[in-house]
Amino acid sequence: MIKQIIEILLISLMMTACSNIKPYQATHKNNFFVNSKTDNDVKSSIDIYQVDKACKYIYKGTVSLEQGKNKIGLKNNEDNYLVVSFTTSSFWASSTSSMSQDMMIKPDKGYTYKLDLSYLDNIYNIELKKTQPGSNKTITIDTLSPHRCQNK
Amino acid sequence: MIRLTLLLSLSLMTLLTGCSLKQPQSADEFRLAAPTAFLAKKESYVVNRPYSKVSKAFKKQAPKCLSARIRTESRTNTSYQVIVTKYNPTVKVTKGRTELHLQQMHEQGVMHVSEVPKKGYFLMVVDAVPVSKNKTRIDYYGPSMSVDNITKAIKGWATGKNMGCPDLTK
Repeated sequence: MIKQIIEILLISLMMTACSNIKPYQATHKNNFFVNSKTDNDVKSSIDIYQVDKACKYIYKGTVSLEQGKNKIGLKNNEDNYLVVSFTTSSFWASSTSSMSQDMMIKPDKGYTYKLDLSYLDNIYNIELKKTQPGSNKTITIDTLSPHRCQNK
Repeated sequence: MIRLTLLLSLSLMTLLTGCSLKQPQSADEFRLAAPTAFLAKKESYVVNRPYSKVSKAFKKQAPKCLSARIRTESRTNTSYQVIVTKYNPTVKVTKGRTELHLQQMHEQGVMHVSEVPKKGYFLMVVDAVPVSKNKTRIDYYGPSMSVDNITKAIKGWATGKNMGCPDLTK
């Protein structure tokens, strides 16, 4: 029994080590607040890329979102390319399916950004809002047509 | 589930064509063919929402939610198949009616045996028609099963109760 548990743990460790997913390590002040609400069998996550001046996308890590509020620090005044994913797993059918939506965000210093995500009963909602510093005024940002990186 | 959807939509296309192998080339032809085709239906319901709001919701949500390219990969011990389908929504406002057309262009993995309309085979046509100041009738023409997520989302837009997008991979 103990041998089996150790084997399972070792396999899990190896799988984690081999995976390309790395946790996002924020070195910036929290300015991006994500409110996630999904069905129990759905996991939501955000892949974060920083985009350099040559429009090269550099993968910085992934945030596995908890149900409810999540705080993320994104680099101000730089293009951040985010890929929001909803992954559904079916243990009995041994299958997973995933759908994603991408967006580009260039946080302005002092502003806070709020992303409301939901995935309930195969219907998803993604809404991004920006709040001015020291005020309650919010602006909804169109995630459908994000600005694209252009060589500077 | 997506395999089933594809299979059913391909079956629907076959059934809509009958023996003539002629696919509906326009929304009008699709409206005529769908109600009598096997695995297809016409369904109507009335929502308590002004027509202008329903029309606006279709115009906003359809391109946002239904314009997608889906890649389906399936393998068994003896086969491997990749199907790439581009979903093309169109919202057309005509006198007294807003039409939402959803077409599927199979870009890979499906052999086209009949003439394909410009934006792909018609999957569904949904019309919003004003009934009174605060009521709008929705007429749906399309598959009778396997597109529940899409029809549920469209109903949400029509009623205004849920502006979410359907997961087209399901």
